[in-house]
Amino acid sequence: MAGIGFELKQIIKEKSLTSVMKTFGYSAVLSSGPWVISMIIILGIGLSSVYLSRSSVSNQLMLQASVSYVSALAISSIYTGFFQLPFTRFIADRIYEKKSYLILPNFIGTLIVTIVFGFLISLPLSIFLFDTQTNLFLLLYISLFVVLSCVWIANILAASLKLYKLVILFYLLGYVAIYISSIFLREYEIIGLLLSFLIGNSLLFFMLFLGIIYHYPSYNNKNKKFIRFDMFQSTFGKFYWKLGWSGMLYNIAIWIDKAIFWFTPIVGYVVIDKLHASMVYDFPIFLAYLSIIPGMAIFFYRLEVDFAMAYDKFYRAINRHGTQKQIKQHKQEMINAVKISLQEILFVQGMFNILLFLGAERLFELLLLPKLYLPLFYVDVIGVQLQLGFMSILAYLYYLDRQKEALYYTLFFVLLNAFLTWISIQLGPFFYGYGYSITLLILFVASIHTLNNLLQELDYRTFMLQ
Amino acid sequence: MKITLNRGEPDILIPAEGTYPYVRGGVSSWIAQLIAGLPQYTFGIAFVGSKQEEYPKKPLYPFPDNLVYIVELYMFDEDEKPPIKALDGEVDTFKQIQKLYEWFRGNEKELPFPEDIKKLSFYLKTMDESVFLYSRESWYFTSQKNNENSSDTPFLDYFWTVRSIHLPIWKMAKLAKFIGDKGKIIHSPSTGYAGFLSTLISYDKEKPYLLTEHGIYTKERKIDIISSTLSGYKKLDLFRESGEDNYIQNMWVKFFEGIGKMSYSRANPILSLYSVAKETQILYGANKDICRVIPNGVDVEKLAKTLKHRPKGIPKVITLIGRVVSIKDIKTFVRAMRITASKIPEVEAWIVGPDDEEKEYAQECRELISVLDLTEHIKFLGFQNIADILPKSGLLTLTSISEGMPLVILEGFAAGVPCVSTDVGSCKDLIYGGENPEDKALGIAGKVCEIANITQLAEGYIKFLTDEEAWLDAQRVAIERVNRFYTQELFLDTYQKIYEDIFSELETKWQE
Repeated sequence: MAGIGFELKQIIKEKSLTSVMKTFGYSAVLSSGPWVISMIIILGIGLSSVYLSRSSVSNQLMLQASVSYVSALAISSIYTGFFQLPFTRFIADRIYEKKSYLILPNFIGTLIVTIVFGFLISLPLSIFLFDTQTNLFLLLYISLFVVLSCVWIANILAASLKLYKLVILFYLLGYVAIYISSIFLREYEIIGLLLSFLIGNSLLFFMLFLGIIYHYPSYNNKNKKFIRFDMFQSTFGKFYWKLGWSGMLYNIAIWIDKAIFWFTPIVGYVVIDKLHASMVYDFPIFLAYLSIIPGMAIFFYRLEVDFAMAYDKFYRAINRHGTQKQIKQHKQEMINAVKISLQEILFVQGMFNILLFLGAERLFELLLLPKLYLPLFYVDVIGVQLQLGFMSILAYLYYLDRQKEALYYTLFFVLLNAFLTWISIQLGPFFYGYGYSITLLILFVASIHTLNNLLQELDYRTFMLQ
Repeated sequence: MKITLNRGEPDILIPAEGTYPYVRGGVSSWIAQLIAGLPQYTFGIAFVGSKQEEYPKKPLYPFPDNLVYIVELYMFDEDEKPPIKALDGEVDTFKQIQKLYEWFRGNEKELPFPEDIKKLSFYLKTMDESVFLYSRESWYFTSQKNNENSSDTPFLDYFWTVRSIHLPIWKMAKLAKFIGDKGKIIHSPSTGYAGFLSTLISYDKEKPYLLTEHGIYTKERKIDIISSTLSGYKKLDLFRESGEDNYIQNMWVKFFEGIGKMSYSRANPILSLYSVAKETQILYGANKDICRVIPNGVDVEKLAKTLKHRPKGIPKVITLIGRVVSIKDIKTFVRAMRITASKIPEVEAWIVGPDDEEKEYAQECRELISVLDLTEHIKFLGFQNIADILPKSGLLTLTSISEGMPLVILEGFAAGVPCVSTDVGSCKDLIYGGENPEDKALGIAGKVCEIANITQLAEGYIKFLTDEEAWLDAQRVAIERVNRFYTQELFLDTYQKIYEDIFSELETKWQE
C-alpha cells in the first residue's frame, strides 16, 4: 500500500524558556541594585564630609574627588553595560546546558577583555578630562576606572549566584574600607581620596572574585583551559548584540540628564578640569535615588516569589502536556503577578513618598540643605519612583526574552531623557527635574502597554511564533 | 520540489505517494505495468515522499521511453518555512475552514463541496502557509476548536497534531501550482495526499481526475495511526481516560477521511481492484454510479513458461512473497510453520522480500524463529526473481492483516502455485472466485483463513502439501482463473479503453 503517513513532533524549543530566562531575568534586575548602593555611599561620603570638616578647602577637595569618582562610575558602567547583559545571558545558557565548568574560564576571559578595553578607553579619557592633574592622579583614575569595570562584571555574576546578602555585605565592607582609608589618607588631599576609592573598590572586587571562584567549579575533564573567550568568539551561538546595546543605552540614559545639567553653562559649573557638576540638580536627584530602596525590595520579592513561580508553571503546563485551560490559567497568574508587583511598587513607594514629602523640610534642615531645592526634590522623587516602575518592566521584558522591545525602550529612554531635560533647562528653574520625570512617566506608561500586549499574547507567541 | 526527469510533455500524470519509482510494492508494480503496457501514451510521475533520506538514491525501476516527466517532493524535509512574523489573519478565511470541517463531518452526500476551497488560490493566497502558521486568527481558531472538542487533551499534543496534519496541505498546493500544466489527465493510485493533490489540480485546471484505489487509503492510515505511539508522553494506563489519546488519533483518521472524501467528490471514474474495496469506497462517500472494479492483471505467458521447470510432485516449500513488515504479519506465518513442521518434518518456508523496512520487526521475527526452533525450516531469501522462486514452491501464502489486490497470488497462479491466504483485500475473490458466477464455478485455488488464525493456516498448508489430488485440482483452477480473468492484456485493454474515452471526451469539449 502506498502512502507516507504522518510525522509528529511536538517539542517546543524548551531552551528559549524556563530556566535560562530565570537566571537571566534576576541578574538583569539585580545588576542595578549595587548601582543604587554606590549612589547612597557617594552621598554618605559627601554629607559626612560636610559635617566632619567645616573648612571650605577640604569641602572643595571632597567635591573634586567625588565628581572624579562619579565620572569613573558613570563611564565605566556605560562601557561595561555593553557586556553585562550578554555575559549574564551567556552564563545562563551554559548553566542550562549543564556546562557550568565553562563559567569560570569565561569569567576570567571576559575580565581580561574588560580590562584591556577599559584601559584603552580610560587612558585617553583621563588625559582629556584632567589636563592639569599630576600623572599620579591620572594613574589612579585609570586604575579606578578599570577596577570599577571589573566590579560591574563580577557583580553581575555574583548576583546570578543569588548570594544577595553576601554581595551586599561585600559592598558595605568595600565602602567601609573607602571611608576608613580616606581618614588615614586625608593629608594627601585629592590623591589620598582617589587612592581610598581605589583601595575600597579593589577590596570589593577581590571579595566578589573570590566568592565566584569559590562557587563555580574550576576544573573539569572537558575543559583544560584557564581562560576562554567563548562569548566573544561565538563558540556557542551568536553574541547577544541587542542585549549589549540595550544595557549600554540604559546606562547612558540614566546619566544623560545629569550630564546635560553639568555641561549647561547656567546650571553647571567646573569642578575639576573638564569635569562639571550642577549645584541645583545633583543633590536633590541623588537624594531622591535613596527613596528607591523600599520599592526595589518589594519588586525583587514579587519577581522572585510570584512571577517566577507563575512563569515556571506556565511553561511547565505547556511542556508537561497541560490542557488549554491550565495553560490559560497560568498565563493569567503571570499577568496577575505582574499587576500586583507594579501595584505594590506604586503603592508602597507612593506611601513612602508621601512620608518623604511631609518630612522633606525637616530633612533638608537637618542636612543643612537650602530649601530652594525642595520643589526639585519632590519632582525627582516621583521620577525615581517611575524609573523603578520602568526598570521593573524592562526586567519583565528581559525575562520574556523580548530583546528587541527592550532595545527600543532603552534607546527611547536616552533620546527622550536628553530632549526633555534640554527643554526643561530652556523653560527655566521652575521646570528643572520635570524633563527626567516626564520621560519616565511616558516610558512607564508606554512600556506597561507593551508588556500587557506581550503577556496577553504569550500563549499565541509561544506556540505559533517559535 | 525537484524535476528529475524531463523529456517531453506527459499525457497522463500519476501522483505517486510513497511508491513508484522509489518503493517496491503492489502499487509500484501496477504503475510500472501500466506505463510499460500502454506505450501509445506518455506518462509523468509526481513522487511525494516523506524525507528524501528515507528513500534509495536511485529509482528501483527502469524508466520506459514513454515515461517522460518526474517531479519529486519531500513533505517532511526541513525546507524553508515562511519567515516567522506575527499576523492578524482574516476572520472570513476561518469561516471557510469551518465550512470545510462541516463538509468533512457531514454524512449527506448531497452537500456540495465548498466552492471557495476548490480554488488553488485559497491555499496560496487567501490562507497561505504563514496565515495558518503564524496568524492570530489561526491561533484563536485552533484554541477554540480545542476548547469545543477536546478540552481535556493535552494542548501541546493537540496543537502539534493540528500542525502536522495540515502542513502537507500547503506542500500539496505548491506542488499543484508547480505541475498544474503537466498532463491532460490526472490518474491517482490512491486518495490521501496524492488524491488531494489530484483534486486540487483537477479543480484548478479543469482536468479529468481518474482514481484507482488499491487498498483503501483511509483504512490503511487508520491502522498506522492506531498502532503508532502518537505522543512521546504517556500517562500510566491507570490514570489515562479512554478518550484522551483517541481524540488525537481520531483527528488524524478524520483528516484522512476528509481528504479522501474530497477525492471521491471529484474523481470520475473511481476504480478499485476488487468488489469489497468498491463497497468500502461507496461507504466512505464515493458515488456508486461511477465506481467500477478493474482487477490487476499479470503477464501470464511469461510465468506459464516456468511450469516446465517444475519438478515432479509437490515441492515441500511454502513461499511468502512480501516485505518483512508488521502489516504482513510474518509472525503469524512463523507460528503456523511451527505446527506445519511438526506434521511435515521436511517442510521449508521461504520468505522472499526486503527486510530492511522495519528492522526491529524483522529482528523480532528472527528471534521468534529461533525460539520456536524453526531455524532449519525458515529462510529469508531477500529480494528474488519470482520466476526462479515459483517453480520451486509448493504453496504460496500471505498472512497479511491488510492487503489490496496482491499480485503475487496471481503470479503464483500463473506459475501453477495454489495459495493459502488470510481473508484480506481481494484474496477471497482470487482463491474462491469473484462476483462473476462463472468464476466461482471454476472451484477453489487454495484456502482462505481468518486473520492471524495459525491453526487454520497450518491446516491449509498441511492439506495441500500432503493431499496431491487436492493440490492438483487447486493448481488447475488457479491457472484457469488467472488466464480467464486476470491477464495483463485484459487489464491493459480496459485502461486503454478508459483513457480513450476520457481523451475523446476532452476533444469534444475542446471542439465545443
